Amino acid sequence: MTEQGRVLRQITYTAAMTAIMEAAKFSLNSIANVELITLLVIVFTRRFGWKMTLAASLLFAVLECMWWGIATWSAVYFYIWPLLILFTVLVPSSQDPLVYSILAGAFGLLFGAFCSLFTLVTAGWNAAVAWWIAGIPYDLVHGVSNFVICLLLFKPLQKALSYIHA
Amino acid sequence: MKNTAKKWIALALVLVLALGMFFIWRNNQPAAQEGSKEVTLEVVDSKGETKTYSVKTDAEYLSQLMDEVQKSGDFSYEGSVGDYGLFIETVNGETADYSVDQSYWAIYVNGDMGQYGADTQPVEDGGVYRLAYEK
Repeated sequence: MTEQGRVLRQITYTAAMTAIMEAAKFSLNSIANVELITLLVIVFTRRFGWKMTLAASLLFAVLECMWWGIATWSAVYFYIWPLLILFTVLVPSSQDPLVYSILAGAFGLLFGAFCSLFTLVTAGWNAAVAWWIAGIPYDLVHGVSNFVICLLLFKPLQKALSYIHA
Repeated sequence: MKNTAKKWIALALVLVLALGMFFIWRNNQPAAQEGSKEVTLEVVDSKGETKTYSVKTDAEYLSQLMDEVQKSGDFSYEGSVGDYGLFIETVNGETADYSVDQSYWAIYVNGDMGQYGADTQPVEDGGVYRLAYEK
């Protein structure tokens, strides 16, 4: 394949990944703290690499801002998914869904803590800690749901993506 | 160390993290005061006009207080439960929609910006709870 064709394919895949993430977000919007984005980011990073997934996650953040408006969480979206991409790259590669379920679970548990980093910068230590503690019940739900979703869907999703040339 | 052992250790650490977070949350719960309390609920609308409700209540949390005042007929609110608890959308018929004009209903407790959602904000005797339309 020519260089031009390769770039074209990467752009197309990035657009498709962004669309899938956006559709997944909308599909579970009504269930608080249950989401598919963590799973998708992990699987995409493994299949397509960190660069394309990073581009897709940033586009996803932009689309979310366009849809919901700019709010305090907007800044969070621009660093929290790249952070998950980094963790996925750092985890030793494995075919075992349990490995990525542990990652997804831990990420869900710490989601509020990562979000509160923004509060730390904008409102200080006390506000960040209070904000994080108040949200812990939601982080616990997030962690458990991420773990279960990844355990159930990691393999089927990975198999589906294996038919696509990365 | 075998990979299987590493996986189970990682899982155990995540469980310890979850338990630790739960205990941090439980030990930092603001104690709600039970019994008869005299509190004030204020509503500041988009025009800056304030409506005040003086209430005697046994409500433990602000959302319960709002439910009680709503039953009195002169106050109403609507909201939805989101990722971080009860999110107030409409008060006394006035809707704040952040996605439209960056407006929202803020909670103030004794003049300070509240640190909790309406369903986790404790109600204390003598407390002044303000719902303010802000942009």
